[in-house]
Order: sequence, then structure tokens, then C-alpha cells
Amino acid sequence: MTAHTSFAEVIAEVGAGATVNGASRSLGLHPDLVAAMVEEGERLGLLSRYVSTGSSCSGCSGVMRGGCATCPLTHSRPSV
Amino acid sequence: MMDRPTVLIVGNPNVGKSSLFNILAGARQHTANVPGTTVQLERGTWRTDEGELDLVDLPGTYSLVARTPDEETVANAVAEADPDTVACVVIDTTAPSRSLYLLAQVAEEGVPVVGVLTMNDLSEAHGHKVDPVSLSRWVGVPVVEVDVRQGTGAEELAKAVATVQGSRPVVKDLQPRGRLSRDRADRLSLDLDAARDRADRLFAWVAAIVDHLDAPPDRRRPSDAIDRVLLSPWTGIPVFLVVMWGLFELAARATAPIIAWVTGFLGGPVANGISWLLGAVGLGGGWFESLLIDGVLLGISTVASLVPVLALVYAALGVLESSGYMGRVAVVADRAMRVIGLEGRAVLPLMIGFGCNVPALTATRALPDARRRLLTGLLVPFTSCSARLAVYIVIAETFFPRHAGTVVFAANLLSVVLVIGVGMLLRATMFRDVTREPLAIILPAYQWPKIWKLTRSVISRVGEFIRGAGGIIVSALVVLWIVAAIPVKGGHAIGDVPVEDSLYGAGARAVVPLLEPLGLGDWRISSSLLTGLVTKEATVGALAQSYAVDSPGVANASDFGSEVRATVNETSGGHPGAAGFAFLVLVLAYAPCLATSAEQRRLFGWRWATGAFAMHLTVGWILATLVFHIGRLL
Repeated sequence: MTAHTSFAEVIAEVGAGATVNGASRSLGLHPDLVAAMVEEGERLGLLSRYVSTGSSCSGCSGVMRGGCATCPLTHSRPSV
Repeated sequence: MMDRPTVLIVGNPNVGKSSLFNILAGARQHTANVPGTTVQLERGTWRTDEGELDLVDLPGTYSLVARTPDEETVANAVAEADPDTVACVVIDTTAPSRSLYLLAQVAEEGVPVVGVLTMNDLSEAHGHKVDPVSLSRWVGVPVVEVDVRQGTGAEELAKAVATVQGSRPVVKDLQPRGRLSRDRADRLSLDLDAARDRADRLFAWVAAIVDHLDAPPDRRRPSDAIDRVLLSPWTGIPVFLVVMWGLFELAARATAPIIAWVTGFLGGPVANGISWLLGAVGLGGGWFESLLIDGVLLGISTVASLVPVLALVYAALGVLESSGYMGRVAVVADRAMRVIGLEGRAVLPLMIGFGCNVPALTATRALPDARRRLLTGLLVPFTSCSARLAVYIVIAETFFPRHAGTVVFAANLLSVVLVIGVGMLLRATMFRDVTREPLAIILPAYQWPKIWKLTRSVISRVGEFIRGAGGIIVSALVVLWIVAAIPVKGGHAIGDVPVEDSLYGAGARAVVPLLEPLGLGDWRISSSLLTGLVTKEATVGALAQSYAVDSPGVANASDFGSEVRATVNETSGGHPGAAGFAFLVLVLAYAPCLATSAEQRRLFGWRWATGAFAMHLTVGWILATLVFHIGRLL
């Protein structure tokens, strides 16, 4: 896992429709690490909250916008 | 006597925890229920050179953030561990991230930890065997390799446990801290930001260790070729349908002679024995004998006849789950299931429902989320079980003799439409909180099922059914006997009354106005539907009984069909086809059978079981009324 890859980024990737293997390849992570993150994201309710609030964005750009206030993942994103 | 120190075996599902437990405890083990739950734990004694230890084999989990009663048990066992308790966290070397994340959570709870490497032989076969010494250095706690197949490594593990006992865990770069999993209420009130940050920190720790392990990021397995078939929608869905068909065939063919023997034995020698005994004490031939034989014994016979089917379906489910096939089914069905807010794993209970709704409800326990389990459990009775099939065939032969097969097929198709339609309706109303989450699971390696584990699981599940639903079924059949035995007219004696003159017959007549809008306003039809509330197969028998037509013989069956058609022709105002199809729709949807309702109550409580019953009555009545009135126009 590269230093900048966070739990939130994996949740955003999978919440936007990526598969475990797809997220694993695009983020350069081991598939079972991605699966573990997704599992925990589901348990904490992060994935469902992201799907209901954040996935309506046209892709999570990693930059904070006005509509991102309700997204559970914005906390770990840089804002502009 | 001093309490012995406890060793908790913690780990993900299917990583060899139970095999490890068997190696350490040997024959010194027993099963015990967790107080206040139906969760069963294996407990045993581990005799080591350092002394005896209490060994607890905890259910498998991926996290201490619990979602099921089994996982709650793990979280509570770790959170409430005594100071001298040690957790042996099993590390599956083929999926180390998930194991290490759990290890990190346990260590953060403040429980001394020893890592136990399993599956290293599989990792070695893939060219990345994990060295326990190096892993121990990176993690900061003792790590021991145990070969659960050969039974080696137990002595080293005992030494490692003795080393950490009573100490604070010294997991590298992690500090014991507040308890995440103390109980469900705490978890639900957690600050999401804090929980996410904590998970983020633990995953960063896991990722750093996994980088050391030098595992190939997306390794290929010999089973990949099988997965290419099972995970493709073009081949995976047909394979799944064939597997389910095989399961139903097996359930029907293999259990039919057993059921026949059981019901024959109870209805023959046992019933005769009861009659003889009652006769010997001067109680024979009266209502008491009828109550015992036609009420209590019939109830026991109904429960007993379900047991072989349930045992076989549970065994088949166990094989599908433990072999790793279930995960593949979940993936391939996920897209279709998300339409109704469910995930791929829900397809199995719904498919099993086409065989029998009772084990289908039990199968909802495989779903990780309580709301999805409930939603699936409410939809299962809309799946057209095989008991209803027998009723469809008789109705179709009676009203549509030239297109009976097509009509029966249409009824099953309608069942699928109902599951989807009611699912969408429930999701849009009472289950708005159930979101369309993507199913992101990592597929487990294929494994041969373990016979002893499977056997214990089947015994446990069947036992749960008998304890939870059996009493309700027997009680309900006794109540049914009582209402059918009480005469309301004609001067008959209790227990010796024709159906139409009994309280049951009066109840059937009272229901008739409700069936008039469906073109089915006749007491004989309503009485068959009332009987169908107990068991669907009995619908036809009750109808035939009401018409006083003997079932054997083609001529008699034909007479029965003609009489029913003539009745419905009259009640429907000359539209027997429309009313006949409405009858079929009603049988499909109007109510779950008694055993299904009892199982719903056991799994979801009285409130939901009663609500589901009311929902079925409403949906079935509205749909059948619509079918009749639209059918009249055609």
C-alpha cells in the first residue's frame, strides 16, 4: 500500500462501482487488503453512506466541493 | 479450585480454527451455548507442559465490529477477557490482510496475542511461504506456525502462549486503547469519523506488514479456470440453476421414502398403539382418542415429516457454503438482486424457497446484515414452494385441462414477479435504509467440506427448528382439531361432527364474503384455503373432503374436478377460467404455511411474523381480485 492510499479512497473506489480486483489493480493494493477494507467499510456503515450520498457525484475527484459536505469520506480529503 | 487461564481461538471463517482447536483439545471438548443466545461454542481443555488451559473456539469473524450474534460473541469474548486470557489469532497466509486486521483489533483491546500461521502449505505451493520468525518481528508478537493437517507446532504454540500470558500486548506501532466492541449500543453511537480514522490507522499498519510479506498482488490459482465458468453470467447462472435443480431433486427423491416411512409409522403402529392403550384404560373411541391421534400425533407427524427435508437441505447448504461455491453464486447473482435492494447472497434463500420455505428462511442467516435478512425473510414465502406445486397442478387440471403445464409455469413465473415487485415495494417504503451497496467479497479458496462439522451443523439447525417451530405447529394443529371437533349445528357430539356442521365449517362460511369479489364465494373453497394455512399440500385434500369425493380412481378425480368447476362457474357468474386462475394466485400468495410462519416468528419475532401474514393476505387478495376481474374481460 502506498503511503497516500487510505481506507476512504478504497471505499470511494468500490462505492463508485469498482470490484475488489479492479480497485486492487487501480490502487496497487493486495486484493485481500481491499476486501478487508470493504468488509470493514460495510460494517461501519461507511459504504452505504457513501453510496447514498457520495456516489451521486460524477466521480470522487479527491477535491472538496460544496456538495461534498454530506459525504462520509470528505474528512480525509484535501479541500479547496 | 483456581480458575484456569483461558485461550481464545480467534480468526476469520474457514482458516482452520476448528482444526487447531481439535489438535490442542483432543477429545477433551464439549459444546456449550452462549447464555441468552443460540450461539454455540466449542470449549475444551488444552494440556500443556506449563499446565492446563481452558480453550474456546470462537466463531469466525473478519472484524470485532459485529453484525451477527456469532460475531457479537467474539467481540464480547475479547472485550470481556480476563487479564490472564490469551488470544491465539489464526493468520491465514493465503489472505493475510484480513487476519492481520483482526489481530490488530484484538491487540488494541488489550488482550495478549499470539499469531498462529495456518495454510502456509498452500502459500508455499504458490511460492510465497510466510516465515513466522520474520512475521513475528514485523508484527511484534510471537508468531507460531501450526500445521493443522499434520498436527505439528502445538508445543511451540504453548510456549508462546506462556510467554505472553499476563502481559500487555506489544504489537509494534499499536497501542491498546478504548474498546470498540463492548456492545452493540456503543458501536451504533460511535462517531463515524473516529471509527473511520481508527480503521484507516489499522489498515495502514496491516498494509505495511503485507508489503514485507512479498505476496504477489493478484496471484493466480489453479481454480481460476473453474471461476471463469462459475462467475460468468452466461455459464454461472445455468450452473447455479442446475445445482439448485439437483438439490430439489435430491430433497424430493431421497426424502420421500423416509417421510412415507415416518408418517406411516406414526399414523399406523403408533396411532394403533395409542388407540389400544386408551381402549385398555377405558378411554378408547371417544373425542380424547381423536384429539390425541388427529390433533397431537398429526402435529408431531407434520414436524417429523419436515425433518428429513430440512436435514438434507441444511446438509446441501453446508456443502455449498463450506466448499466456497456460495461466494461464487453471490457474485454472479448480485446484479439481479440489487434491483430489490438485496445483494447476491440473498439469491440462495430465495431459490431454496422454491423447494421449501422453511429451510429458505433459515438460510437467510448467511446474510451479514439484519435488515437484509429481514427483507429476504419477508420475501421468501412469495417463492412458490413444492407443496404449492401439487395444488397448482390440481387447479390447472380442473380449470385449464388443455394448458395445465403452461398455467403451472405461469404460476411459478408470477412467484418470481411477486418477489421482485413486493421487494421493490418494501424497499421503497419500510426498507428505505437498505441501500444498494456493491457486493465486494474476495472469493474463498475451494475446499472439501468437513463431514463431522457438517453433521454437527445439520443436527444443530434441525434441533433449533424442532425447538423453535415444532411446538407452534403441534399446538396449532391441536387448536385446528378443537375447532373442527366442536359442533355448531345438527346435534352432533364433540369430535364426531361433519366439517360443514363444525365450528371450523362455520368459520369457513364466515370467510365466504371475502372470496366473493374473486368469484370464489363458496364455503368448500374457503375451508380448503383455511386448511392450506396449516400446510399447503392439504388444500386439495380439504377441498376433496368437502366435496366428499374419494381421491383414488380416475373417475372419482374427474367427478371432483367437474364438481369444483361447476361450483366455480356458479360463484364466478360464468367465468370459471378467471376465477380458477384467481384461486391459483391466491394459493400462491395469500399466506405462508404454519411451519413457515413459525420459522419467521423464531427468526424475526411475533411482530414481523404477524405483519408478514397480514401482508400476504392483503397482497394475495388484491392480486387475485385483479386477476379475476381482468380475466372476466378477456
